[in-house]
Amino acid sequence: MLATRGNLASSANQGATDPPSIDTVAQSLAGFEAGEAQAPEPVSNQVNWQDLVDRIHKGEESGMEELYRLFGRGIRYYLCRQLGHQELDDKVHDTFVIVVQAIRRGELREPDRLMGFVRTVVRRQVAAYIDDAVHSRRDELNLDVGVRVADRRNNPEQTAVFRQKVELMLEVLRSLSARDREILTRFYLDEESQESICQEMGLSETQFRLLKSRAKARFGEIGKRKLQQKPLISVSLRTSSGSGH
Amino acid sequence: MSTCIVLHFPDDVLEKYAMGSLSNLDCGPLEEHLPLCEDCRTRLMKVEEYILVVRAALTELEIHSNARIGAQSVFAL
Repeated sequence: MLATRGNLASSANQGATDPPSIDTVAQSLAGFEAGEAQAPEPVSNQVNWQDLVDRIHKGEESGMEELYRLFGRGIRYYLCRQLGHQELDDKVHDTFVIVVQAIRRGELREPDRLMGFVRTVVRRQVAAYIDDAVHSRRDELNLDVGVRVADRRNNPEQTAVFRQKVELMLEVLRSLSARDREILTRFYLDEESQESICQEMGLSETQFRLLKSRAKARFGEIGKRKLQQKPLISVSLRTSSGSGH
Repeated sequence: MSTCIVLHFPDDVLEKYAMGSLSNLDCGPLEEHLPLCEDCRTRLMKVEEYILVVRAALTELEIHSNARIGAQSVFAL
């Protein structure tokens, strides 16, 4: 999420050490529980790529609008993931322009491969931005004044939410056996492959998957339980303060 | 009408992608799918966040257990 003046102000008022609201943690915990909701059908199943590419090729505005609507948010997400929030709109726009120009020049011969083409363009863009950043950093190495550094840290509320989740996960991990914790450590922290962990620790693929999914489900359950307890505390506090009058 | 039939990607594939262990060959279909699929993007974000949380918690546990082992060995001296 991009930091706006409004939410920065509210974060500042709230203070860096204040706990986040229950709703905020609840929203961010949703989806960690076992079992997934029925996912909607992906957009790619509903698109007539040939017709879309034809319309863009002819310069029809409706084609370009549809293309932007189709991948605008996804490209934004990918670019943001790779390069951060800085000048994101410009980067999305540049990518869009390159794709449209290539289609108009007739460079896309297989319309069904449009998303593959878009992926290639985006990857080239990311590589070019990183290359630029490396060069400009090298050029500006000796300049102390006027160098803009993007702040990619989370705001205080996000940091507090993250900290709460880590506490929940610590609870989950402490409830596991030392052997199960070792398996998770080797996978998530040491980045050992599933195959080598299974082989060395005498596990089947199913056992390995089960351990991971149980830890994840337990994380969701504990989070949910804690959230259900919190409103009760606030109600009892309100009741006890009210009884004093 | 030409359509591209793509199913949603399972969480273990998204997890491999997030951890950078998905092969280049398998990255292609996923990266072509992600811009068009809000559901998979949302799940990928959750998977990424979960990995960060697990890593932070495991690191903390490791630091504490190392400190405990260190303290025990000092007292043993």
